[in-house]
Amino acid sequence: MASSSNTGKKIQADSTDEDYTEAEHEEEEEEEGLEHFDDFTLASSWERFISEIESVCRLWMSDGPKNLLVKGAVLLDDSGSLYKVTSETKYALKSYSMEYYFETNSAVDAGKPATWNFDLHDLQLCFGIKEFLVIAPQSASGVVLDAPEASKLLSAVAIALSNCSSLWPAFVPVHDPSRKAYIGIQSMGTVFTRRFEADRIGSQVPIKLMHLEGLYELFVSKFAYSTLDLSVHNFKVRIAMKLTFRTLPFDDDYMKNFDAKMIRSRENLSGETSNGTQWDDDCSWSEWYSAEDPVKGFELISTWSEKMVESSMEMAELENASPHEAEKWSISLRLEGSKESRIGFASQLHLLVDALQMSFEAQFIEDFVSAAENPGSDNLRSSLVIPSPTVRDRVLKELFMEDAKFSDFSDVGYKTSRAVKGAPLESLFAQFCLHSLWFGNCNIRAISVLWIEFVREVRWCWEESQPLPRMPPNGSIDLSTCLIHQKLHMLAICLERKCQLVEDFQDCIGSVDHIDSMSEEESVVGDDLMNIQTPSENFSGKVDRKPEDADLSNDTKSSNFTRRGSAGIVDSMMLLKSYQSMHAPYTQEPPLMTEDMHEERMQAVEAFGDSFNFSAQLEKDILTSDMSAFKAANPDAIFEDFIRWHSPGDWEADDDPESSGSTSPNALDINKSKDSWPPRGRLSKRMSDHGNLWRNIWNKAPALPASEQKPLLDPNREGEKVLHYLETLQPHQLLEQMVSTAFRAAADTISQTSYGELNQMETKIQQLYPTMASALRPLQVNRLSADSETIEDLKRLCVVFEHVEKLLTVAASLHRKLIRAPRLSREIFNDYYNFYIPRMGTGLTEEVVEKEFDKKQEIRDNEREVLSNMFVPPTANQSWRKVLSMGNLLNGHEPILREIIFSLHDKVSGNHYAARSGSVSQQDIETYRMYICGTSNDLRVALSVASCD
Amino acid sequence: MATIGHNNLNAKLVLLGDMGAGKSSLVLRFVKGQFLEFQESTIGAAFFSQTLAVNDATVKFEIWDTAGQERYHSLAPMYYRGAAAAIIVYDITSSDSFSRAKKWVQELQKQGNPNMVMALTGNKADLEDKRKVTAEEARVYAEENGLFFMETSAKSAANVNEVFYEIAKRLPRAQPAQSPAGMVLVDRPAEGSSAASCCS
Repeated sequence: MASSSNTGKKIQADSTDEDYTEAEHEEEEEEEGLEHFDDFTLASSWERFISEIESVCRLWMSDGPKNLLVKGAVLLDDSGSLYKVTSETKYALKSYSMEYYFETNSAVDAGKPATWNFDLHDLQLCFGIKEFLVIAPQSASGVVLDAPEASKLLSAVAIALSNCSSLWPAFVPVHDPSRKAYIGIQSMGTVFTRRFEADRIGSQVPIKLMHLEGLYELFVSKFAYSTLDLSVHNFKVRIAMKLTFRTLPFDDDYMKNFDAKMIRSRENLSGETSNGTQWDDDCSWSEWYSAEDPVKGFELISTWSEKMVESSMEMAELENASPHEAEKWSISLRLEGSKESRIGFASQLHLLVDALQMSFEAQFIEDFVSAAENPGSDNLRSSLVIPSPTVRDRVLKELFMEDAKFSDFSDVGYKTSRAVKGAPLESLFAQFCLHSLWFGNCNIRAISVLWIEFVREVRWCWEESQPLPRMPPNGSIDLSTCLIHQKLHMLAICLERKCQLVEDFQDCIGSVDHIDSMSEEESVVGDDLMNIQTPSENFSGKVDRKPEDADLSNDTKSSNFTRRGSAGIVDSMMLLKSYQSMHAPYTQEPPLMTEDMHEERMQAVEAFGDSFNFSAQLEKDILTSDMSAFKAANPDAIFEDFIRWHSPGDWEADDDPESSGSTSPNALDINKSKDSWPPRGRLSKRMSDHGNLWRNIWNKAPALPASEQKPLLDPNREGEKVLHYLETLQPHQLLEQMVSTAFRAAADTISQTSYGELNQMETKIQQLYPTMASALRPLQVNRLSADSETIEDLKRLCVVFEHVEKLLTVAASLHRKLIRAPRLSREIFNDYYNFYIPRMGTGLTEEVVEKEFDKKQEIRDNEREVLSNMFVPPTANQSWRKVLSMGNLLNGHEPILREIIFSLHDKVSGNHYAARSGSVSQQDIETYRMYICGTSNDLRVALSVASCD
Repeated sequence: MATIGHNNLNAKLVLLGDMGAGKSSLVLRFVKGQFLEFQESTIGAAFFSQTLAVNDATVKFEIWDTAGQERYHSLAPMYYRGAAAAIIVYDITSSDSFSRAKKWVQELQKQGNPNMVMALTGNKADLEDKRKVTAEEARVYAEENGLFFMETSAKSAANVNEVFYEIAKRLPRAQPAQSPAGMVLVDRPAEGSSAASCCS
C-alpha cells in the first residue's frame, strides 16, 4: 500500500466512504519504507478487499504480458491479439471476478489504437483504450445492478490501482447486461484522470439522435458549457464513421432479381444463372442432393476516415453522402450458422459405413432381405426401412437406362482417384453405389434389396444379350479398380463377344454384312466345318481336330492348304522356303483376366516353384494359338519364319553385319531381303538350341486360323462365372467394395464443381485421395469380421470428407456470387479456409464449437461495382424496410449499423497541478471522445472525458 | 508388394524389357549364380524367389521374369501389378532395346504402384565393343525419371548382385506399397490412426 500518497489521496477522496479513507491514511504512515508489507491488521473487510485487488494487480504488473502468457492467459476468441487473465476475489459474501485484458504487443504501439481495427474488443472500441481491467460480480448476469454498489466497487479498484501506480483503466458493468452499460476510470499519470461512461437505448431513440446532426450536437453538448446555439458556435470536432450494409438473404426472390440484373449487365453469364430454383443447380453434386447455401449474404463495411467537422450543418451534409464516397470498403461473409447435421455425401457415406459394420452379421445378402419380410425377428432390423418398390424400380430404370453410354474411364475425375480401389465414376457399379447412398436411408437392408434386383437385372442383360449399360464392351480390365467393376467389365466384354459369335454364325449362314474383326477373306474361305457348327460347339473344336495335328506338323502337304486367317502381308517379308510374301495372321486377343483370376494363376505358378523351365500355361496357349494362326496364314512357313515375325530379335540376318545380334531388321534389310531371296540368316543361338521349347510347340501346333481355334477366352463360361460371383457375393464383400467405390465416386463428383482458382481447395481435394486410399486399404484384405479399428478409421474418414465437402460448398457458393470479382472470392475463401482448417476436428465425438467467422476483406476500387450490384433495390414485398430514417443509403438500403467516433483534442496549457515536468504541459490530448453505435432504433453511446480534477 | 514383418520383407519384383536384353540371364545369375551362353527365350513369365540379407533385415524377393516379346505386353500389368520393385533391362548393344525400356518406364509411371522402386539396368556390359547406348545417356535419363541406374553383365556377373542389393536397401525406406488386390492374403500391419491424417 505504500505508493505515492498524492494520487492515493486524490482517489480516496472520490470514494464514497470517508471513514475508510481515514483509516487507511493512518496505516500508510506506519508502513512507510516497507514496500511489500502484508498487513494483517487491516481493520475492515473493505480494506482487505482493496488490498486483495492490489496484490493481484501487482502480481499481474510484475509478471508482464510474456509471463502471463506462460501462466495461461487466454486468447480471446474474437480478437487477434487480446489476452485475458482472470482472478477471483470476495467481498461481503459476494465474489467478484477481476479480468485483465492485455495485448502482447502493447509495448510497441502503446499509443492510440487504430480507430477501426476490426478485431478490437468492444470496450477498446468504445473508449479508445488498449489494455484494461474489468471487475464484475460473479452472478448470473455478471453485472452490478445498482449504481452505488458499482461506484463503490470502482473506487476500490481505483484505490488499488493507484496504490500500485498502475495506469490501467478499470471498468465496472452497471445495470442490465443488455444495456452494455459501464462506468470506468483511469488515472493518466499525475494530472489527468479519465472517466468513462457507456449506455445504450434499446428502443424509441429520439428522432434527433437518429441523425448525424443530432449526434454531433450530443457530443458538443458534453463540453459546451453554455446553452449557446450550437448550430452557430463552431467546435473543431474530429469525426470518423463506419457504416455496415447487409445484403438481403440469398433466397429465391433475391436471386431472381440478382440474376436478372446480372443477365442485363453481362450476357456471358448465361451459364451461371439459374431460374431461381436452387442455388447449386449447376454444381456437380446437384444430381444427388441439393446443399443448403452456406453463404447467407455479405456485409459491406464502408469506412470514412477521420475528418474535421466544424458545424452541425456539415454533419447534416455528411448524411447525404453516398457510401461510394467512403475511403474504404470491406466485405465480410455471413455464413449459414445451422449446426444440425448437413445432408451431403459425407452424411450418407457415414450411413454406408454403418451398413458395412452390419454386413458382417449375415452370410448371404438374402438374409437381410428375408429378415425384412418377418420383421418380428429382430427389433433393430425393423428400424431399417426399405423404400417402396416403385422407388426401387425407378432407381433401377435409371441405372440401366439404355442410352447411358460410358464415356471413358481415364479422363473422369482426378488421376489420383485411381489410388482408391473402386469403380470409375459413371461406371455401372459406381452409379449403383451412389444410388445406394440415397436409396432410403442407406441401410443394409435397403442396399441388399437393391443389390439383388441389380444382379437380377444384370443377369437379364446377359441372357437377353443386351449390352450392359455404362460399361465399355472392350478394352482391357483395369486391375486398379474394385473386383465387382472388373467382373462387370469382363461380363460386358463377354457379352460383346458372345454377340459377335452369334453374328458370325449368322453371317456364315448367308448375310452380306460383315463387321467383326475377322477379315472378309477369312470368312469367304472359312471352311464348311465352321458353317455347320454352332458357336458353342466351336469351343470344343480343337479336340475334334486333333487328328489333323499329325498331318499339319509334317510339312509335306502344307502347300496344298489354302491360306486362311490372313490379316495381310507383312512389310515386304518373304518366306524362307517358298517365294511367297509372309502373311500376318489374325490372332486371338490375349485372354482377359480379372484380379482374382490373376491371383489364382500366380499362386499356382508360385506353388510349382522355382524351376526355371516352368512357364505359365497361359502364355503357352497364346503362343500355340499364334503359331497355329501363322501356319494357317502361311501354309508354307517354317519355324524360322514364325520367329522372324513373332520375335524378330531372335533372327540374325547374314547380309548386314551391322544389324546382327538382337536388333530387329530395319527397312534396309527388308528391302534387301526382298531383292535377294531367299533371305539369309539364322536363328539366334538360344532359339536354335536342340530341344528348344518354341520349336517343340511349333511342331505340335496345328494350322488353324484364329476363328477356328478354341477361344482363349470362352465368353459363355466366363460370363456365367461372373454372374455366379455376383450372385454369391457375401454381404461384407459387397459392402467393402461399395464403401471404397462410394468414397471415390463421391469425391470424383464433388471435385468436378467449379469454384474458380482456389489453390487450397485444390490441394485439399488432392490430399483427400491419398487419405481415402490409406483408410480404405484395409477393406481390400479379406476379413471375416468387422474390425472395429477399421470402422473407426472409416468414420473418421467421413468426418474428413465432410470438411472437404463443406469447404467446397462454400467455395462454390462464393464463386457463383462473386464471379465478377474473382480476386475477392479467392481472398474471402482464403480467410475462411484459414479460419476453418484449425477448427475442424477429425474426431468422431467432439463437437467443434463453431465460432462466428467474421474476417473482413478489403474491396478494391474496381470491385466496388460488383458489390454495389449485389444491393438490389428493395422490391415491394420488402417494404418493411422502407421506413428509412438514416441517411447514407446504398441503392436504397440503409445501413444495418452506423458507428461514429467523435473526438475533441485540446492542447493542455500548463496548469498548476503539473508541477513535475514541463513537457506534460504542452501535451495534445484527446479530452473528449464519444463512440456512437447504432441504428434508428438502437443507440449506444460511450463517452470518455479526460480532465484534471 | 512389400510386406514388412519383423525385420523381414517380402517384395515382389518384376523384370521388364525388350526381348533378348538378358532379363532371364540376370535372374539366373542372381538366383543360381549361373550363366548360360544361350538362354532360352522365355515364354510367358517365370517365377523365382531369393532372399537377401541387408543390414539387419532380410528381404525375400519374389521375382517375376517376363517375356520380352511384344505379343505378351498386354499380360505385363498382371506381373507389375502390386510389385514393390521393377528392374527395367535393356541391352547396351541395342538402341532399340533402350527406347523400349523408356516405354516401360513410362508405362510403370502411369500404371504402376507409385512407390515402386525402379531400376534401369544396361545389360551385356561385357560387350563394350558393340556398345550403342552410352552409360551417360542412360544415367541422365534415369536421373530425370527418378530411377537408379547400373550397367550389368550377367555373363561376367558384374553388378548383378549389386542391383538387387541396392533395391533391397531402398525398399524399407519406401512406403508399404499400395495394396494391389482384394485377394492379398498377407496381413499388413495396421496403420491405425494415421489414416485420417490429411487434415492434421
